[in-house]
Amino acid sequence: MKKYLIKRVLLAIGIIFALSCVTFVILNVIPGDPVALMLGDNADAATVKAVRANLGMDKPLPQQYLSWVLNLLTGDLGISFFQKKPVLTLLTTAFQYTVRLATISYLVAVVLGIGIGIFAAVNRGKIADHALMALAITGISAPSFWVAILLQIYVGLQFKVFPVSGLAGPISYILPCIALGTRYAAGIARITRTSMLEILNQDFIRTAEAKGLSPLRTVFIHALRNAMLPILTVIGTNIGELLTGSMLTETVFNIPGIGKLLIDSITKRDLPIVQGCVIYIAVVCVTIYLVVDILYAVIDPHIRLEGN
Amino acid sequence: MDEYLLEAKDLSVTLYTERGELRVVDGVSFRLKKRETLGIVGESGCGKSMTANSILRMVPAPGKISGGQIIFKGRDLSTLPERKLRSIRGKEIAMVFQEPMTSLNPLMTCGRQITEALRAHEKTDAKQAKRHALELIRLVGIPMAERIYESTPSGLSGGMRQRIVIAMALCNNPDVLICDEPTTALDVTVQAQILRLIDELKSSFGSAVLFITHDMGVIQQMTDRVMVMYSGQAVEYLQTEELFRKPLHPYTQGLIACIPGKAAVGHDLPVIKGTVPTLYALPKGCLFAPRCPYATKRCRCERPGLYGAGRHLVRCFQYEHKEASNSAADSGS
Repeated sequence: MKKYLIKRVLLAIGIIFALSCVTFVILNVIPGDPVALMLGDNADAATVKAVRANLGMDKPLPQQYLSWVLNLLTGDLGISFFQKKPVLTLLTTAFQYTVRLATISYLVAVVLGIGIGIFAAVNRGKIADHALMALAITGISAPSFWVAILLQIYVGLQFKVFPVSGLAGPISYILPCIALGTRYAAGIARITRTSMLEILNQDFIRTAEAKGLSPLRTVFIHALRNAMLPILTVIGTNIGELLTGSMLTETVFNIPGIGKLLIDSITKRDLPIVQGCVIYIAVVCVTIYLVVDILYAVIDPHIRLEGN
Repeated sequence: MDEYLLEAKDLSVTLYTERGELRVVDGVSFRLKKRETLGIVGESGCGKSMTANSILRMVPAPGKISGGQIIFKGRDLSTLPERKLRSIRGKEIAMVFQEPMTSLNPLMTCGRQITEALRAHEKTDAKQAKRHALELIRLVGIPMAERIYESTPSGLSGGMRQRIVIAMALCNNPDVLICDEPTTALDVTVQAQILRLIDELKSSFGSAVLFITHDMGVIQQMTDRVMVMYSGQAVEYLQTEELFRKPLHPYTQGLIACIPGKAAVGHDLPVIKGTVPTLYALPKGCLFAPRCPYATKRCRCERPGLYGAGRHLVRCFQYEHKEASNSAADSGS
């Protein structure tokens, strides 16, 4: 187990390092010069050169990378080109919005998804089941920005209760959370239905019915608890995705989370922020997969053996 | 007249499949008196489990009770509202199933599964329910009741689990206990223990038992009267002792002849030739005619009714005109 753990942690560090290297190279190779963007078209060559030197961009690429990595290790992600603030501060602020959005949407997704999944499983083969599963497929297939725009047009603009864009109190989270939550709800609904159907066919469910228990008790106490394992796996793996921010939903609804920060910085070529965001996303994803992998190994001894 | 506790009248169960409607139970009637044990015997697929499940209306989809009545204490269970039926399930009529390994919830402690059955029907506090459950666990012969009470079924053997299921079934002191092949999945020594346990408990609890099995030995040990089923129909009703002494229906005779030990040593065991007809293509005449050594032309084109009188009824043309003598024999005994 110890060996497996060390191996996994080392692998995780390696992935983050490789990712940082790749992003650094790509960002410096792609067309679009941040200095030109900063100064405008009319800047003279001397000013451009001075700014480049000031930002440390006149040095060779490997040296730039090295100093960036060394700073990273001390917790310094650099200063934003345009906002002139430390990247870490910007990330922390954006993170709060992303977490809030992620938590609420995911709560909606879990409650809605499990609820729909159970209902469909219990009413298997009936019209309600087919309708809900068709809806779930639509939910999985529909891009979230499209759902977001539809919500803005048909709910936001028509009823004028929910703000269409920006953050103005708790109410402005409702539409983004629906847009983001429905997709995950659809996925959870499908896995819940499958898992519940398998459990509902088992003998101990018949025993519970024969005891004279109410259908509600049979479904929730006996079936759901047994059906929970695959559902939890899906729920766990989604969390990483959500914490890294939904670029599309955040952009459409103008919520200053990680996703929006990343998109804005890319269009402005604010390289320190882009690099900071990518590192953040890499760390979150790698950590969550590491935790999930370790949990699997704890539950299933076979995985542990393979790791050795 | 005897008072009947449970009475099935012309009960039919149909499976509504995509390939058509299958009558898996076809007009079966039986009566169960207080404290009596009625056996239902037959080959796999003859509808005995379906009959058992239909009593508490627990026929698995796509099956449904398609006709007849189930009278229990003056109420027809086949039309009783779901809520009222639930108050009978596990309380007045309880069931023990075939597969002890899978019929307990793997994530719930044995104790909780028993107290849950108790508290579904009676408002008792947790402490009292626990005391009652522990008492039951000891009663069904499980040592270290306290430990078993706290543990999930995962570590328990099939025999132990079946004891828990029995404790669960008996916890509300049911009037009728339906045992659907309770020992089929167990090995022989455990089988004998469980049968003895059911036998002891049914007399101490005073429950009537409906015992479903394909095992003639179990029928002999456990039951007072027997209904023999073939292809969804009851083909013979008789006293258990008569079953072994004087079975009348050719199918029943075949079953008895197949019991190992009855055949002479050194000879092959007799078998009933052929197989159970598929429900998709039932014979036009007597359902058993294709396998029957005595089948006549009439048997192949006409369905026989139930003949005989009193306690012994046979679905075979051979006995069509013997009603008088049969009833005479019946009243004489």
